[in-house]
Amino acid sequence: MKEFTVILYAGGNNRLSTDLSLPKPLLPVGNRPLIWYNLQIIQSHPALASSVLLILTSSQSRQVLDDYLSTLNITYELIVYRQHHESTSDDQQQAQDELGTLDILRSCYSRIRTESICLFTCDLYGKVNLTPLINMFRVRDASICMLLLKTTTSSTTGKESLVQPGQKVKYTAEPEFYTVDQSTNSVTSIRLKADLDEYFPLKQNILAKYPRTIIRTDLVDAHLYLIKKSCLDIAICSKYSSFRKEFLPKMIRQMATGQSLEVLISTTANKKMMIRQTTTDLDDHTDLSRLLEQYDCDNKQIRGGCYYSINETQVFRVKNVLSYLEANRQASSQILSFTNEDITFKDRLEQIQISPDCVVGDGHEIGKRTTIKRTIIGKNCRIEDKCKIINCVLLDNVYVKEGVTLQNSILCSRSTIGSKSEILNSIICSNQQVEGNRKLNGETVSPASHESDVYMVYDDEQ
Amino acid sequence: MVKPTSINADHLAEERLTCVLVLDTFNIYTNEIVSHTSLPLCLWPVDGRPLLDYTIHTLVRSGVQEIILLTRSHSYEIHSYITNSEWSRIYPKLIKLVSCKEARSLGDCLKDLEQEHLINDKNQDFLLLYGNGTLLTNAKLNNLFTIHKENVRKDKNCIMTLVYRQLDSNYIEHPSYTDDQYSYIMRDANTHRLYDYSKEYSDLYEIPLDLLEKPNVTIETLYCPLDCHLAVCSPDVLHIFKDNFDFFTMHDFVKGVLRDEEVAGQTIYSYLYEKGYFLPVHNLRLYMKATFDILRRWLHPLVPETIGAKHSPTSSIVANPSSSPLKLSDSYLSIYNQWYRITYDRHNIYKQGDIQLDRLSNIQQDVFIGYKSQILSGVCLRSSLIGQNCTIGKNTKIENSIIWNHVQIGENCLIKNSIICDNVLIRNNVQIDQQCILCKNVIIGTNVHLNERMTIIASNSVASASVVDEIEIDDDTPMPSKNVKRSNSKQRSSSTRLSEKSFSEKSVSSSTEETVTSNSDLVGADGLGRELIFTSTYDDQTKTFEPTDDDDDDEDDDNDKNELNAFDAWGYRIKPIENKDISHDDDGDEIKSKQYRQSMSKRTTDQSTDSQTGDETSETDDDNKDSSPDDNSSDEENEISEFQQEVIRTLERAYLQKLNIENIIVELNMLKPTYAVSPTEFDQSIVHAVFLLPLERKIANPEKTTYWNTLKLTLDQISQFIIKNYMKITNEGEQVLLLNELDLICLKYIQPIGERILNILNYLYENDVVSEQWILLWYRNKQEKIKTNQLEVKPGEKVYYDKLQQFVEWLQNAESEDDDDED
Repeated sequence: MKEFTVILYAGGNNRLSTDLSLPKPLLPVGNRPLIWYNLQIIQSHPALASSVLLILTSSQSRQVLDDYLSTLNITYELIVYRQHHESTSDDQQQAQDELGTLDILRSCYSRIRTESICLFTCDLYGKVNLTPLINMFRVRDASICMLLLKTTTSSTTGKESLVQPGQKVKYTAEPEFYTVDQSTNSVTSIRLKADLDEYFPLKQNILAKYPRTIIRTDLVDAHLYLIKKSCLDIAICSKYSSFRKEFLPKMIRQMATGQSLEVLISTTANKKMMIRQTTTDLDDHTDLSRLLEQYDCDNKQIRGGCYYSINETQVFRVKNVLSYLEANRQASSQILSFTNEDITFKDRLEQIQISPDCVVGDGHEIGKRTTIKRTIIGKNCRIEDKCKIINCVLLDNVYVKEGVTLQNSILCSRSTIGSKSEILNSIICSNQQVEGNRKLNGETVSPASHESDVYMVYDDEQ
Repeated sequence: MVKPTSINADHLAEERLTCVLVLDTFNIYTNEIVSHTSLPLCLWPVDGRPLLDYTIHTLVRSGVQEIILLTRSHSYEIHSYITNSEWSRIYPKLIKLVSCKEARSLGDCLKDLEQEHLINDKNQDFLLLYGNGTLLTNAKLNNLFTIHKENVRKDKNCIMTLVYRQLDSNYIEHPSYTDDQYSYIMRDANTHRLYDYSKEYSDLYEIPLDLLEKPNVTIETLYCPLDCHLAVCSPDVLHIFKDNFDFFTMHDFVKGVLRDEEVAGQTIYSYLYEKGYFLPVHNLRLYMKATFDILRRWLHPLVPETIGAKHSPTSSIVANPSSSPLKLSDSYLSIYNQWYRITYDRHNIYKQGDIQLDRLSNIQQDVFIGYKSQILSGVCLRSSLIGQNCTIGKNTKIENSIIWNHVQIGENCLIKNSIICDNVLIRNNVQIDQQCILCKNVIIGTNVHLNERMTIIASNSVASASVVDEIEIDDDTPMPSKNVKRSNSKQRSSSTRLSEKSFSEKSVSSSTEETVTSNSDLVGADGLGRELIFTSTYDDQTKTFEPTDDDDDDEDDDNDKNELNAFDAWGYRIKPIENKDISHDDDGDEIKSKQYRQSMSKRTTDQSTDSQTGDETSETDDDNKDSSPDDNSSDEENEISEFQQEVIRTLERAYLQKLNIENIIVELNMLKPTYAVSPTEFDQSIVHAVFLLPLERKIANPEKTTYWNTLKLTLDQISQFIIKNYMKITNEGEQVLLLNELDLICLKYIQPIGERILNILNYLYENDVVSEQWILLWYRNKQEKIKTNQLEVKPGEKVYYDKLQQFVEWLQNAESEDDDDED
């Protein structure tokens, strides 16, 4: 029997992907889609590599994702979840996704047939060594293990200030306080700053259990969890819809105080609803109620506690435009560490200056006297003469006309930039044309309505 | 033995490593037991050697070159021990003794130390061992000086580094943890700076978010670490203790410094040992643990046989008892007078010199048997210490117990987890349960069964004064079914005694207690001794009854002060009395118990009023600041008069303790905001305080009790400077205010003050406190008022006005004479 079931949540339709008109898992970083990096993380550990891989995705992006994944040599199972809140407007989509994590899990719950589950969202970027985490999960018989990351300071060196391209959207960082016991690596509480007034409360009974704790503010959750099925059962039965924001802090609190987790299970009505859902939704396999009975008695596992591991290498979540740019900047070195394949641009072309930290995709066509620095260029891009491209990300099939200056911008696929334009800190969405001699600074050029969004990336491969 | 000079030769040029030991727990329960054993806790034997010896060994090992012992009670014993010990012979200048007989708290002791000027150097850090001063550790402490220096280097405001030892997660089960060590500490994980510190139990602790969000601050919480009662202090610590008379304990100090951090800017750091043996012995439970730990060699390399060898009798000058200046009849002296080689056998069995061990005895493990002790056949010993010259009778079983010297134990006894002091005689078939203490000279009769947690004292032992003036509160002995001896008559007598007591005065009850010389029900017909009833003082009881949730500062101080006494000698938190009452009456006599409880509750209310008055008198004696204003009326006059009382108290203390004038002025200034008085009221209060102080407080010596004499004394020393500071001679308003107030006082107290106005004014004039110009001006105004009938002169006040006139006339004459001279 396999140890883990890996559930990769690849459905994200968040701010970033609407901006860039691409499903998030397929956003190219260093000319490889984000999901590739996450699959690499899974493959890096034998226990996970050999386990069942469930990829959760939305109906919209199912096709493109399937197309891409079929090119890779992996076995996977795609599960399409219904989007419960399709009717609501786009602006609330981010909130919806967060709301839905547990709901989505519920839909695929009966597919889980292992004791342990590895849950993670498809936005991790970087090289992660999962061995300590998995070892800790096994050794301590933990209920849940989570990967925490240090808040990264940007790698941009020197004068280049980090300006967020595109329209100014405030990303309200939500500082969280992780109370951890460093001797045992256990997490004793997670608290959102927003939930607190002026004081950070410390319960005496938790203190008594963990006499020496450190409250860290410099950590972020990587959204990678190893969790016991018994705990997930509770989560599924609870009334919460968000795993990370609602269920997890409560579960940790219950575990730290040594109380039973069963109080988190909501009323029987909810349970019934759950059962109905499974029967209608899915399959013949097992009735959820029977599954639950099996685990109800198994309280010891629930008491296993919550542990964490801090990843020392530079890893971060691609959550917003800034982190997306940052990921791209590091792409050249990161990919090297995964595959030993140097993807940086090596060809020396006449009269073209391309700095060695650039990545240029196949089928490029670069005009003379063009300077390119710290930039990722996708496939089949065409850049005419006398361009200056610094610190940019160009997706596939971008056409940059003569004498254009690009700086700290993202150009999505099939966009065309008219000659002698100057574009600073901007995002050009796919299929958009920028006329010649335009000057843009901090703008997002997007189609009039989102309806026209069709995910057409990678179709050139066909 | 490593000589301190050699280990720290390079340090010697820079500084001497100093350690201050405060050899008192300031816990009344412990001290009460201690007073019946004739040995202070720090000299209680652990392996035949006193506890203190281990601490000194550690300090010497750490390279400490100067040890200052602060003693409160039992200074004689400690002194004689030190002078007769090896220490004074090998390192004649190592140990200094400071006796602080008057001290009532750690703060008092340190104030006394400051007065002694033993720590002179500005940069001389010192180790402070408080809470009985007996820390057992096998770590070397000299690195603490370096750590503190490093803290000071990084943060020049750092004045203290507190030392802790991490305990395992289940602290409650840790044997080194006793209730009195409860603490919660919030510190920086990287710099170890202390941010918050609390000894009060709370369900919820809070950390301000601002602190968490500060850059470079990572908060770490420590819950119930083992408080080593050890701190590295900068010399400033003593000054702070001196300046803040309300710092009684280390807890007060740390709280105070952290609270005033923004004002004074001083910071406290902490250091957490993660390994090494540490045990601060400050209650009896820890004393027992210390003994067994030593026998189990946790303290390696400090183990009994090596320590003992360092004090070999051949080298000791006191080997010959006759050379000792001390009387041999003092049995306790034998503890440190006779040293014999200790042999160490497997299973941690120590045999000191010549012992008689029967072949059929069963010595299991962790046992120390002292010189000339006899262990008869069939004896079973486990984890126990047997002192010198003891006899253990046949088939007796002793577990986890400490038996001092010259103890005789009969046959078929069973002794568990108890302490048996010098010269105790236990007859046959005695059973002693957990945590009993048999003090010096007690005799336990045949077939007696002593229940848990009893303290038996011999009635003719040093009946300490502290016992006499305290009242027996309860008879906390659950009736055992086994105890056949316990008769009904005893019960009746005890209940009548209690009910009698509940309405009686202190003196009555204490006299009753004295008459009970020996409780034969308890120790048997052929026994000698009675139970030491733990009587908490009235203060403590009322404190436990009072709700403590209001955050009045004064209240807090009270609690802090009594913090130590909230725990018994074993380190258990003392529960409110009510619980005990219920257990007392298990006869099923409901009515009686009801009445009894009613009487108790009535009594407690009586007590609370009683205690308040009692408090006040005691406070005036000892001028404690914490006379909590019980009637917190918003009445302003009340506020002012309270403030005035406060000023008087401050001045009195300043006078008695000969404090620096500037400090008093600072103190007075600090009082101003706390009482919210206007500047005029403040000045008025000062004047009142100055002149009323001699009236209210008979502080002068009995021969010169007249008002004028005392006033003159206080004026000489402090008051005139105070007045000069607040009522400048050049300022008309202030001067007139002074005179007006003086006038008021004189009119109010014609008898002692008004009649002396001549002397007072003359004194003030001579000492340039008031100038004649203002006196004359003021007098003229006054005369005018009298003339215009605005002011009525009562017949009684005539003396005053006459005197006043006399002075003014004299003043005018003198002035004219002066003028003449000038001409």
